[in-house]
Amino acid sequence: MNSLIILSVLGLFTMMSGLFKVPVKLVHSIVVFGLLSAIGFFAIEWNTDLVYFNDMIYFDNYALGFSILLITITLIIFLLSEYFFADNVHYATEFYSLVIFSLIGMICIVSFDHLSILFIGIEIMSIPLYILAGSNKKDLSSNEAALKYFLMGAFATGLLLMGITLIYGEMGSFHIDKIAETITSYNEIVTSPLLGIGILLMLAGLCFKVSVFPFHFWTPDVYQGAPTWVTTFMSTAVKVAGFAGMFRLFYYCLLPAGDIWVQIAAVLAASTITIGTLTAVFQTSFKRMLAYSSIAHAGYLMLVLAVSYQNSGSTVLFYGLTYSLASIISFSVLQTVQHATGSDQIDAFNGLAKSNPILAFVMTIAILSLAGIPLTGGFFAKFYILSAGIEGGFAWVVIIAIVNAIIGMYYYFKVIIAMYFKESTFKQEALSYSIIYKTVLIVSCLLTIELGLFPDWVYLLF
Amino acid sequence: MYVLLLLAIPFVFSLISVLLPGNLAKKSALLGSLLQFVFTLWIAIWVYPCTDLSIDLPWVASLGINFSLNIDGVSLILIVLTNLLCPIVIFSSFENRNYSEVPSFYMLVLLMQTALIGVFTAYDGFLFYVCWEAALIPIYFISAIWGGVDKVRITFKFFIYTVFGSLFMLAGLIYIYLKTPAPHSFGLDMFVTADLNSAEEFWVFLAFFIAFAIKMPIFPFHTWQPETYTESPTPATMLLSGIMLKMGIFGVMRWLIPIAPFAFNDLNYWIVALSVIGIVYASIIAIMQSDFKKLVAYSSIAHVGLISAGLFTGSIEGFQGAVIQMFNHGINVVAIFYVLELISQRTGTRQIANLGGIVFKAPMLSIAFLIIVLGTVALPLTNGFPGEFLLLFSVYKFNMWFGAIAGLTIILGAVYMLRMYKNIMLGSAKSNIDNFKDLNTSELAVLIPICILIIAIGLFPNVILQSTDSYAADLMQYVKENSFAGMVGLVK
Repeated sequence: MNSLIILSVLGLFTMMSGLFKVPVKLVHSIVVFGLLSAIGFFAIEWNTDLVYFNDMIYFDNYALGFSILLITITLIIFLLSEYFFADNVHYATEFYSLVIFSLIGMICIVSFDHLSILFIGIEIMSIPLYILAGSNKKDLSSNEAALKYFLMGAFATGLLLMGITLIYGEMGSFHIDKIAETITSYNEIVTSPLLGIGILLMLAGLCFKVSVFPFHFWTPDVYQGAPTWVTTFMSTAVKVAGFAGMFRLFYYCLLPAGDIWVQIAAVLAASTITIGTLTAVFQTSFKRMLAYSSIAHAGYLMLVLAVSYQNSGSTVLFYGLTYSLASIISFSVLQTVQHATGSDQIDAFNGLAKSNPILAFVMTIAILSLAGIPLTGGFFAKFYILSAGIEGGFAWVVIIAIVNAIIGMYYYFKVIIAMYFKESTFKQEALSYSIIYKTVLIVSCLLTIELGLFPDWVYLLF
Repeated sequence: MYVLLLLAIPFVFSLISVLLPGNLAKKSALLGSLLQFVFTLWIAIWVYPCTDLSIDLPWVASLGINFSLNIDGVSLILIVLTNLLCPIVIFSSFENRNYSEVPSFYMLVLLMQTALIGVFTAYDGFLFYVCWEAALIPIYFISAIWGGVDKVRITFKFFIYTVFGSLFMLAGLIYIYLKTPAPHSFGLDMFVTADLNSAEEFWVFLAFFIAFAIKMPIFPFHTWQPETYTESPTPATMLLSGIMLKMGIFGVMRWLIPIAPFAFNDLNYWIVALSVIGIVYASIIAIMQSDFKKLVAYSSIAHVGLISAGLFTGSIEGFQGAVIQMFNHGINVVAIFYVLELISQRTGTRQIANLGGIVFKAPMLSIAFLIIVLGTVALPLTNGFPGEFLLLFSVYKFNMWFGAIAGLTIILGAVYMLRMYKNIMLGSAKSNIDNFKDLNTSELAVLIPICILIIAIGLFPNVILQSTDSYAADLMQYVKENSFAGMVGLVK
């Protein structure tokens, strides 16, 4: 809870600091310090299971684990986005505060115990994102992204709220443990249309936030239009938070009513993986390709939801961690290359291995992790999910997932081929970047390998 | 401990090589691989017969994955083969200016060697899979960076093809894993006792078989192979044909047969048939080739076809023939590629039609090449003979007609190999060999031991056969009778 207060104060401070012309470098250091201390305060609450506001927020280990992960992702993105902040000195502080407010919303999403907190969390998370997506205000595609995201997002939140209302109407409570209790003790309630429709509406609303088929159409345009570091934030932190919240709702609360949604979730998983993968194959823009591949990854997480086995909470955490690390690395390298060449096409990476061997190497590890090659964290992430899928009786989804993983190799390796085996089309010299940038990239890369060798410490967290 | 050292030596030297400048990198890589070879011989002769080499360390406890390694007869032969060929592969690269001074080239070769040792010693399904994939990445990079004109497309096809197979193997591995008694385990001993009904066994068999068949390759999964062999730089071709292809055969011996014996008995007829088709098909195409590297690539499909036909007959002779022929094929094919690399470096061409009369300029090369070619066509008293004899015998016993068709390999093999030899080495001298130099000392140092090995194994095949005698007998007994007790004892 202390962390939530720290973050709120941090958000207000950064918002005000623009007004008083506090130097951006100072704001940056304070933000980094603030985020680190927020992580620290969450870490010491481990195993305490504290409850706040009449049981509305519940910081169990699940909530703490995801909160720490989300703050870490945000911290890494701040550390890696130096170009963006350097180029936008006048607005930099606003960006900090918007991201931090969004982060507070995410922490509400992963720690809710009451459906209204879920809703409020999603709103707090989304509204700053609408602004951030349009923050390149002179760029037409950025404006398009913001408007599209806002309209679709408002619609989805509407669905979610309607779902919450219907469930409240049937259950008479917003508390997830009470709802779960009611469903377990009155089994015939599962057939009630009010509950069924409510669950499906909530599923649809949440699927929109994490871009699961058929609610994914906004994703490629928004991801491509938004500034790259915002895209990084959206495709990592927002997605992880969305899934963590979804999982908290469906696993801890609606699992007794599994008959209603489990099969649907499995179908959504299979179709999301397929659609994301097949569309990614045809992309020439690396950024757009990552957007589609992030849709495919959402499909894998959907499968965890469908299977809902004993360790699935930590599977989501593990998948979120490895996927976020790999995405952050690849988006950051893209950002650096884009800054130098002005292009986000895969061709822009041609010959990167010769001019910038370190960038090419960390990028390769990230891509291998996204593709799920052994000895990277991404392999175990997929491994846990696929073995859970087979065990849970969804072998057909697993087979579809495997076929798609093979197709996925094709487009992921296009980047590796460009970096290592093609001659540079742009005149590329060694790109300049700061020591912090380099260190953070290498540490993320080493962590990806570490998770590919010894995954147990995260997997057995809760 | 010994097994860990076998993994550690190439791995450490790969790291050392990449940190050194080019001319030192190649020396340190060669030193490392020679050290590894000497160490392997020491293990094979003195340590293996009297010591328990198994290692079992916990790795990922939550999934029942152990770092368990062991050496038995089959792995011993393949480890000796790997560590014998790697110095040759590294040495053969010294003259090629494209990669001889590039440290990362040697790093990749040695990493590949590490992964191969891992594949051949793993007793844990997960570890096996990881090493299997880890062997692919270095060879893909070697071929795609230093390959020929159309390298990117061809190596990518190879990569996707093999990953396609191995992901199905992964699905099979996970499936068996979930069938082992809880808490689940990836150990081979648990896999053997896993409770599969016949339908499940059928699918698991297919999942594994696809991975192994692509790697070998068995007809009709071979389409990646000729192009990849031809376009890859020669060291990569040697690694691919000499060692990597054995991963598939080894996988059948160590994993496929013990895990799915019922399905093996049901399906082996069809696989032997496919292999026999592959023999004739590849031989005929080999005869038509004008590029000698491509010719050897197709001949390799034919030879592997015979090995897999013998192996899948499920008889002791077939198994033993496959073991010895794996070893021989590794030596012969690497030797042929080495000689052809020497010729193409000196003349700048790979077209058979542009060559001729080398025997007058280079008698020593011609003699060495002749011995290697004779070994490949399985002349008695060379190493190819005992292997092909056992294999053909087993196929004949399995089905007379298959035996007769597979027997064509002797004739067809002689046709394409001897014709190639005749056209390149004999005949009238072409203008591009005016400055052709005979073997120098270091090249002799590679070829003389190989030729001695070819004849020595032809004379004393039992040196190899005896090390897998009991394993073959137990395994085939197990396939026939399915006595679990015998198998559990075998893999422990």
